[in-house]
Amino acid sequence: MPPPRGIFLFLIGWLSISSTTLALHEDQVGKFDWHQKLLGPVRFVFNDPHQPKRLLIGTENNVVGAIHGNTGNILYRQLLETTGSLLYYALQEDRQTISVSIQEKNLIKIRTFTAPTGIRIDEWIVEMEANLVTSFGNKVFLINSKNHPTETQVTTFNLKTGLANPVKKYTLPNCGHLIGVTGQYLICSKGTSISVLNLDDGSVTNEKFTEISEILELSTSGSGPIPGVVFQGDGFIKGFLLIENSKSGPELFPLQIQPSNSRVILSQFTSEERPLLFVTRLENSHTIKMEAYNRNGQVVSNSATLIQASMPLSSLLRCQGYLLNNQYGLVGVTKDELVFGTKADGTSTTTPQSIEWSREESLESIVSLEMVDYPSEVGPTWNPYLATMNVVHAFISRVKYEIESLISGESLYASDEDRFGLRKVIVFVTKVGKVIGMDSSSGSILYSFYLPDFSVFTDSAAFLYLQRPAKYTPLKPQAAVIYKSLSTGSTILFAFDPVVGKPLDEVRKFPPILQTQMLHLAGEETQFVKPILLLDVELNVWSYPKVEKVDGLKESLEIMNSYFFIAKKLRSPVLAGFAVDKQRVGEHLKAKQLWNLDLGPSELLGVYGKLSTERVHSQGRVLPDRSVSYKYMNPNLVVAVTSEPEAGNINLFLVDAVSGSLIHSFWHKKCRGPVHVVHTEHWIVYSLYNEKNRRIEINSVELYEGQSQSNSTAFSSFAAPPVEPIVVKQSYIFPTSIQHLAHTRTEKGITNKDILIALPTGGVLELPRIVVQPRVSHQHYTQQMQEEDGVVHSIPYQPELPILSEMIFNYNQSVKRVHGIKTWPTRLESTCVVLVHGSDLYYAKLTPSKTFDVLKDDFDYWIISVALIGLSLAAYLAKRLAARKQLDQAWK
Amino acid sequence: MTTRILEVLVLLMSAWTLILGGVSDKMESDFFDNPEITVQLSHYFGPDEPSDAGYTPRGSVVIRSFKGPRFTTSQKDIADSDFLQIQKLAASNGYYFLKALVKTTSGDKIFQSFAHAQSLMQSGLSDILRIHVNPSGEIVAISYALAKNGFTSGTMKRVPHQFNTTVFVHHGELGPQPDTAPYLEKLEHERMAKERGEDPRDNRSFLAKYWMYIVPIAIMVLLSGASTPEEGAR
Repeated sequence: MPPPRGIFLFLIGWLSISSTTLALHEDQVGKFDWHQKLLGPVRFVFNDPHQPKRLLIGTENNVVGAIHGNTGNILYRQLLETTGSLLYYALQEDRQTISVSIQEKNLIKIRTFTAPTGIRIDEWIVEMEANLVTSFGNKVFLINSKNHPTETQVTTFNLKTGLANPVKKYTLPNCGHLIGVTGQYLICSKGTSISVLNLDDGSVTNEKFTEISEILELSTSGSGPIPGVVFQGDGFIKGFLLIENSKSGPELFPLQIQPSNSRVILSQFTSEERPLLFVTRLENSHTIKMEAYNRNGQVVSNSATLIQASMPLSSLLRCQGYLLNNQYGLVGVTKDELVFGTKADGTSTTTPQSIEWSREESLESIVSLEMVDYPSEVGPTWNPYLATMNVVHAFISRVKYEIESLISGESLYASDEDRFGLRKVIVFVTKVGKVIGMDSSSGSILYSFYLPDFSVFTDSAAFLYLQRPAKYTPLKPQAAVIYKSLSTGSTILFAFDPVVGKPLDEVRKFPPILQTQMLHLAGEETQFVKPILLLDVELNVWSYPKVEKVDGLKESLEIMNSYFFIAKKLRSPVLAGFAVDKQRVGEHLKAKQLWNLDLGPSELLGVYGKLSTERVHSQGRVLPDRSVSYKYMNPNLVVAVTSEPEAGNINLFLVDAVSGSLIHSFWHKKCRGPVHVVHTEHWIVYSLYNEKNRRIEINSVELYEGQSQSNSTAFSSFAAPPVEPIVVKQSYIFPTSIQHLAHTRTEKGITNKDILIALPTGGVLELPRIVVQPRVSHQHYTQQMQEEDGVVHSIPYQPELPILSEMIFNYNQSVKRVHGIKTWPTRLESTCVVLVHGSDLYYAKLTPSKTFDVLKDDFDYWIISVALIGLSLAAYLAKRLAARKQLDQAWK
Repeated sequence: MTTRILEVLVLLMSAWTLILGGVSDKMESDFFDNPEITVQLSHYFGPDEPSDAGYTPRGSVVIRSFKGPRFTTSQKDIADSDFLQIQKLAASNGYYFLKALVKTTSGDKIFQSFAHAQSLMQSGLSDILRIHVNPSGEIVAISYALAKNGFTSGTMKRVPHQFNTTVFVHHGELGPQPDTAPYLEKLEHERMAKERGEDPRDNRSFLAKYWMYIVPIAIMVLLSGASTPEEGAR
């Protein structure tokens, strides 16, 4: 029986609009895209005793995995729950690891994995509070010392039986905020006194050091056969091995460690025949010193190893030394989440060794990112932008450039990639305060530097602006990162070259800020740098570069008060609008609060504006009856989303950010977040969870001005009477939950827009917007008339959006725990580049309307030229023949 | 240009009818169950930053129902001195601030809004208050805008000393819901039609539908029919 025609029609429409023809052969995987797996902030590192090169890793974000010690490549990775955090990860017994993660406040999950493959063996759930975990044999000790350090509560969990023993209380008089665990011991200190508790039998040793000042740092060697501890303070260092003494409880056996001012890190190398204790320290920013001790606390001869780093290392956080074929190897983690390692392949035993590989694990938590065109390496000597002053000059330099390029054979652009702006430098700002530049063609890291005194603003934001793009070639591109000072709370602005990562200006400091904004006001005099305005909490407006240096800024301020800000006030659901006041152009400008809008009583979830640089190709939508419905394209429109948790409502407000007036509002009853919003052109697409129907819904809203346009040149928020948009809307059911929503963007906005939906399965769905576009019913133009005309204006409405696997553009390159999707236009109108970030990085090129402006790879130039030449020859011949025939006829 | 004027005219007329409507409703106020809601308006037109103390009362709007134009505005004439000050503010391209205070059961709500003083003068002091109401009938926001443009230009009319305020009530919409019922109905129809063995949308004639079966049979019949008489003749 044939399927119903409606569905058939729908499928045809669907297939014709979706870019599913981008089929990929297996050998093309990674040719047009790249994929990188990340682990996150590494907190636990240890080696597999059966394969010392295999380093087992546990991260703060509940990820366990293994990396290769010589290359740093991920061997396997297991993502545990997103909501939890890892408390403990260690070797348990033969070829098994144990992880303890805390789920909510008092839900603890204990799991065991096989060490070589990371496959989960067992899992238990214990309901209790704990802040420290250690294990010994088959026992896991869950320690709660958060509330009263001196009254430590310990629960012992037996892995054999899967049962937890009742809570035991220990009184440790010397317990302060310094506390650590190693093996079956708990060590804590206060002042110069320490307490050591054997968790297995409950024996306690208290000791007091007389010859030293206060202990400031306590680090342990973690789980393993050689429990050790190091106490450090002002100018002293004391290392001990912990030994069991059946009579008087645990005993401290002193280790001979060279005194040093830098932090000492202990790590245990577990091996059946020769377990070792490694003592690692950072000698200076480029050198690490490592020494090995045996079970008896003696230094192993010839074990002192120096490791040289080519990049400066900030302080060491974790280290793991290992021994392989008589060569010492090291894997370390720094405070800025750089994981690095040596190459221990047994061929060279020379010291110093060098760091052979490194992984930027902070890329797992990206705060802000921008892309800048990769400048061509062979830059032109002729600069079209600087040569515009004088016509004659411009002409001469142009001719000179053309001759030069003819002689050298190099064109304005070095390679094919550059010609279309497909190669970018991706600049990341990460949560730990690291700026990383990455080549988009391969995903390799070009540079990275650490921002000192870095912290994020509220909503974990730091701002990154691209002030000058790369196209003004003799001038360097410029980017600026704005962040909060960790120590003072003030605002720091740092301008740098986003291509090479070198500073371009000294660090600028500003008072704490409410909002920042980059103006699109770049002229020749200011060397094409777009100024950034910063609005501080006292409503002073600062500009970078300074107002006087910005061409036209002062003038435009004097003509009209044309710069507006919108800011979230400190009190949550209140939005406020400010304008830069022209009256007080002094040392710095002043802003005036113009409006405020209290969206309460509720909680503000987010404010979503449009991209200020966005270009919309078409002003209107042609309706089937040949009339035009003009789009409501208010550039100042923002979407504010609030939630009322008690009532269970989600509310959406469309607010004009300049005039402060509410344009429209949507109220969703019995719904909850997470709400993801895409706001561009004249439409909004957002997703939320409907609690009543228990499903994810995607809502689509379009705004139109109607059959006439109020102002065809520029939209004004102050138009009198105000423009009231016509709101068209539609809702859809989405079968799975959504991790992130984004949209594609192209240079001129001609290409159709696709909505990118990150799914929890790891796929990213590329959904053509026409599928979710609200269907407008036309009274005078029915479906039948459409069919008669042979035109399908809109595909029939279907309430549930299907997930077609052909539309998942990252095919099998799963992207987990997606935090964001960033799209960027290229100079090819059809093409848009996309970067999906989360626990993975995935970069690809998208062509929502297919590659209409690109010749195919297999385009046959030969046959075209032969056909062309053949045709012109034939035409010429035919003309000759025809002329001769005419002549012959004339003679007859 | 003409359309612009027309638009303004239309709006003017509609504004007047609204206001007239508001006046005539005074007598009907007893019919409404909802308690009246009063929006207190105060404004500020000084040269400096607006401060809470600087606002002076402008008048009030009483709304008796959100269904339809049922409201009354009571605003006094502007004093000459104040009018001059607004004119001065307009000349220096300053802002005119308006504060709307609504007393609700959960406490007072204040909405601060503004307009360019120059535009206010050009509009001939005719403005619009847009009151946004959520589906349960509470005021969410009050937006301020001007009703027209270029009042003073051209004919050089004198700006009246009284605010001509129009009130629009905007009802917040309940968010869209997936439209499953008609779709399911359609599917059901199709299923039923299939069970009956007919496609309701296929209204072609019997011949048009089955010509591909009929034609071969007809040809075969014709062919066999053509051959039999020959045999008979033999």
